[in-house]
Amino acid sequence: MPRTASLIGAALMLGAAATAHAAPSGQTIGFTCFACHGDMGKGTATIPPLAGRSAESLYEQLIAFKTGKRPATVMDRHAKGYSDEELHAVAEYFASLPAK
Amino acid sequence: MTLSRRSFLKLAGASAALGALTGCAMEPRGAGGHVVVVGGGFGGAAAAKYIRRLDPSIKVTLIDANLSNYYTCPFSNLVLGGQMEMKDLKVSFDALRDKHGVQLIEDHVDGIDADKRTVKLKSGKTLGYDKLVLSPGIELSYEKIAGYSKDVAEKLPHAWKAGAQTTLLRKQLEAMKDGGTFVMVAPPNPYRCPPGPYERAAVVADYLKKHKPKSKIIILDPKDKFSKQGLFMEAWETLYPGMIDWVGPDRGGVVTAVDAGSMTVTTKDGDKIKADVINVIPPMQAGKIVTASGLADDKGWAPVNQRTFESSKAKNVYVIGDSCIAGPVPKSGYGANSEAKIAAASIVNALNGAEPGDPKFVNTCYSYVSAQDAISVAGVYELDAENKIIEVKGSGGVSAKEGKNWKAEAIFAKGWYEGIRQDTWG
Repeated sequence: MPRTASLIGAALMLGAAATAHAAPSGQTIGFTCFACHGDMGKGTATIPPLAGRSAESLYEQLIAFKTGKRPATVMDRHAKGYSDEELHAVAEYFASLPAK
Repeated sequence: MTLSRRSFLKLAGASAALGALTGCAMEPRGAGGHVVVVGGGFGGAAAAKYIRRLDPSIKVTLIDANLSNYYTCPFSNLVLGGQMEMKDLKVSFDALRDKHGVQLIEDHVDGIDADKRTVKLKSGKTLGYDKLVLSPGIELSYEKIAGYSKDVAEKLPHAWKAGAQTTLLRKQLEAMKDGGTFVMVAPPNPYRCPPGPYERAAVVADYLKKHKPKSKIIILDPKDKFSKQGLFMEAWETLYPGMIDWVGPDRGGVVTAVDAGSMTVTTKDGDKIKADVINVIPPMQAGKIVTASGLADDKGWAPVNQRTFESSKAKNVYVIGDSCIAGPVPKSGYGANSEAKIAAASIVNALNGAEPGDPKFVNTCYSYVSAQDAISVAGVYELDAENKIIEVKGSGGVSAKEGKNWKAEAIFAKGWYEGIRQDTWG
């Protein structure tokens, strides 16, 4: 395999890891959600799945949690921890995962 | 390892990763290096799984002395309250081995040699590594309370590591007479599971209220405040009025000695308190392998690079979970799981010659205040300009007051437990 292809592979796999101070990638943020929303975002008995949902709808909900427009038990407290760009990145990440 | 072999490994690692991405079946062959993980809890197991997930060309070996007998600490308070059984807490490592290709070794780690990059096992075996992850949890400092020891804990249980100790404390509570006194000696900061002692008091009160309503719970605490204090006290007063007495340091809550023979605890002020069941949660420090390997500071916890979790004291050794110092990220299962994923990514990056990206950490700690009511504390964390972990301003915090979400959060807590078990060991 040519070296360039290998490097592209590594860069793809590692997300935005090319520079020392890259913003957290959608994957990095998404990984932290799995603890409640299940492995690869496929949900649990009482917590909804996120994998494979549309990025637009996920982003909209996250913004609604962040602004307080959508009432929540804990998601409002989480959503406030991210910039709009980060919420966008994590919405795109979950949209890219296969639905259950 | 020669330079030419090293660069070959790098390329092999990168192409294997490409293979995984495009769905090609790759035989795990360890071409990307060998990572040894010590400790199979929320930190270690998640690190092992995520290293394999991010780069299946890396061989990962997970070592824990209790692989066939492992129980989670989260939800173990519900066993004390009689709402769950030990079998509900048991963890299987089969999926890590069968689904994720993690090599499992059930053994005790006797020591590490960070220069030679080897780990010595009790069985006599020595394992080499490229990167080592230490996630051994905590070591209890029994000796810091006079009269307490590992042996005395067979009579005055700590139940701060789930397993036989949990069963023992449950049996003592079941055997206690109605009108008995349950004394809990709470630990000083920092310690594993900050809200844990107060959740324990609540779910034990739930049990006592139903079965032995004349009983009392006294929490002797060296801290003048504690996690989710307002919410806990509100719940205690609402659900178990008069049953739980929290005694902070200003009221003589600092315990200096315990005596299993007379079933008394002695406070710093010289007061002796007699009890029917005594739960001693002693001060803690990093797991033994961390302190014994010289990776801890003078307070007993491991300083690490907050971006990568590589030890500040040894190269190629990463310390995660309860043992490490991660700023405001609490010593919780969620915290360890979150740190594990960042450490996994930084190890995979390092083995592939790439720079680590910016991390982001999350914690959510649910605490039951009765069998069907729960509260939570949450936090989102990132690095500041000096590469120190800080809580994102305006994020996180505790649940709404007045029991507004008690029922809903008890249901979500169960979902969290299912989710994090799947994410860590599934």
